[in-house]
Formats: sequence, structure tokens, C-alpha cells
Amino acid sequence: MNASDDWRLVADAQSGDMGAFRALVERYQQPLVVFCYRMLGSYQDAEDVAQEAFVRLYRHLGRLEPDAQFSTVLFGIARNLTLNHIRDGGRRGRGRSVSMDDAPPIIAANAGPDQCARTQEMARWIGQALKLLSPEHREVLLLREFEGMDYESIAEVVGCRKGTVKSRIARAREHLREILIEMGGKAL
Amino acid sequence: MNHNPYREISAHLDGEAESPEQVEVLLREDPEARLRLEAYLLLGDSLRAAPEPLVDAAFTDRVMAATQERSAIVPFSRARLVLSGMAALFLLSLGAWLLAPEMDGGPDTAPAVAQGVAESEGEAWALAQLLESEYDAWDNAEVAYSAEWSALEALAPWDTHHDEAFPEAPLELDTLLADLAPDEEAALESLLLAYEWGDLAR
Repeated sequence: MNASDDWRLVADAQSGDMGAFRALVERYQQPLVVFCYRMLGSYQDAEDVAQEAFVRLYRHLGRLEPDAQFSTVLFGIARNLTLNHIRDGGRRGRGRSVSMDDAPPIIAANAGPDQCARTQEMARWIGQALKLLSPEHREVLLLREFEGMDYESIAEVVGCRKGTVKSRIARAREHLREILIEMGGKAL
Repeated sequence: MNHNPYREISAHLDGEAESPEQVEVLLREDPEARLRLEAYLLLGDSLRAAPEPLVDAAFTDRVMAATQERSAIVPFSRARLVLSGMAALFLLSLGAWLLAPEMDGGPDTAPAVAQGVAESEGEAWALAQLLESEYDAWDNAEVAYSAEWSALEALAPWDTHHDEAFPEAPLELDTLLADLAPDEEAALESLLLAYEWGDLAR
């Protein structure tokens, strides 16, 4: 997959080719739902928010121009929706966005058989530790570590300066390290 | 090296350090810096190794169905949507005026909200920011939230939260619409699109 492929699909979708839009959904649904899940901590909410992001994308296809990476556009929409969702949950006092009660139906372990033991041990704690980061720190770390975005792209997604991204990622790593040490992560 | 070496070590790990040579020197000379780099590497490896949900195969079908269903509504409801948005914003202004004595910002805040029913896109955005910033300042949060909810419901009916049970403000749309100036439509359209696009984190 590359950026030009994405924009070619967007162009086809703009012409009314629903198959092209479906291809975009299929291409990005896994990383987008996972991003939302790690932001919200609820699989059902993650699917709802990711679906909404795709719908909004579709409704604005006519305004899209290939002057940025397609992924930053899509993740930018999803990012705003997740922050709204977290904020709405906080206002209502339910804290549902960080509940982790509704576990995803299927879990894929990314750790291969050659993964070292301490990485696997740490991975077990990472989901809990991520929840303790602020949304602003969590989002930049997820976009960097999971999506592999560079700082410029992350800045586009979250709407801030590149220098701010740099600081937030450093603080996020440091905070995550401190949290994991408190949880017993001796390797850190 | 600047005053925060860990910031540069973190950036170095991502290939984004301003001066990679200086970071390399630091890593050679400072055992603590090397330990920190190793910790950040381990964190990254662990994050990527963490279990993740596999998206259900039916998700694609649900997205496509929602896309077709919702997009089919837009052309017919756009005008109504704008009018509803105008009415809701009018209500919000009215609510802000009524609530003014209870607002931390004082009675001057309510006219500010009213003036925010804007004549330009920039003012519309400013209004959106204002609504957000003032929400938390209102003592009567339930009423304020109810007013905001009504506005958002009118502005963004595609929002996923509208099935939630929240008290609705007593709103007579038709009556209020008659009092609104027609030149507000463009600004409200911009605001509406901003919400729809997701550019505004409420």
C-alpha cells in the first residue's frame, strides 16, 4: 500500500465507484479500529467511532485533495471523534471510555515465537499502562509506534506544531516508563 | 545538547533528532542516556507486541451500509439542517443570556455568545470554541449541557450519541426561526461543516 494507491482509490470513489471506497475501508479498518480501541479502551466504542470516521470521510469525499497523506486525513477525523467521545464520557460521569469492560471478540497476538521474554511480559501490562496516559500523550505515542507516522504527519493529525509532537512523544515515553516501573517493570 | 536530553534521545529513536551527532556523543559518554534509550526501545517493542483486536469481517459491510444510508439523507436534509442549526444557536444564545448571572464569566459573556452567531467562518469557529470553553464555567451544568446538546443535535444529527437520553431544551423551532436573520446561514453552514468534518473537537 502507498499514498498514490490511496489517492487513486479516493479519486475513483469521488467518481461514484463504491467498490473503491470499500477498498479504502478494507485497507484502513484494522489500523483505525485498533487506534480507536487503544484510545478508548472499549472495543464496541472503537468500532462505533471508526465507523463514524469512515462515514464522515465518505460524506466529504468531494472536498478531499491529494495534498497530504490520506492516512493523516482519516486518522485526523478519527482522532477528533475519539477525543469528543472521551470528553463526552467524562462529562456524563460514566467513564465508559476507559472501562475495558467490553473486550474485543478476537485477540491477535503480535508477539512472534522469537519475541524475547521481557517484551512479552511488558506487552501484558502495556494496555493497562496506556490507559493512564493523558489522551494527548496516548494519541501521539500510538500514531508513532503503531502507525509509524513521522512527526510532521502526527502534527497534521493532531493539529499542532512538529516541536509539540516531539515534546509530547518524549513525555509520553517517560510517563509510560514511570508507570510500568510502578507496575513492576524491572526491565525498565 | 539542550536542557532535556531525554527529549532528544526520544526523537533520535524516531529519526527526528535535530542533531543526531550530539545524541550519539551523549549515548557514548553517558550510561544513563544509554539505559534510557534501551528503555524506550523496549517500550516500543512491547507496544507493538501487545495483543490487538481483529476487526470483525462484518465491519466493512456495516460501514458501507451506514455510508449509503446516511449519504442518502444529506441532499434532502441540508437546508432543514441549516435552519435547525440556526434555531439551535439562537436558543443557545438565549439560554446563555438567561443563565448569565450564574456564569463565572459574568453577564457580559452572554452577549458574547449571541454575537458569536457569526458573520464569517472565522467567527463561527470562534463561537464553537466559546461554547466549549463556557460549558465548564456554567454553574448550572445540566441546563447548559442540555442547551449545548440541543445545538449539537441540530448541527450534527449524524453524531453517534443522539440516542443517549438527555433532557431536551424546550425549543419551538418554527417560532425561533422566524426571528433569525437570513445572512447567518453561510456562517452556520461553515460551522455545521466543521462539526461534520470532525475538525472541531467539541
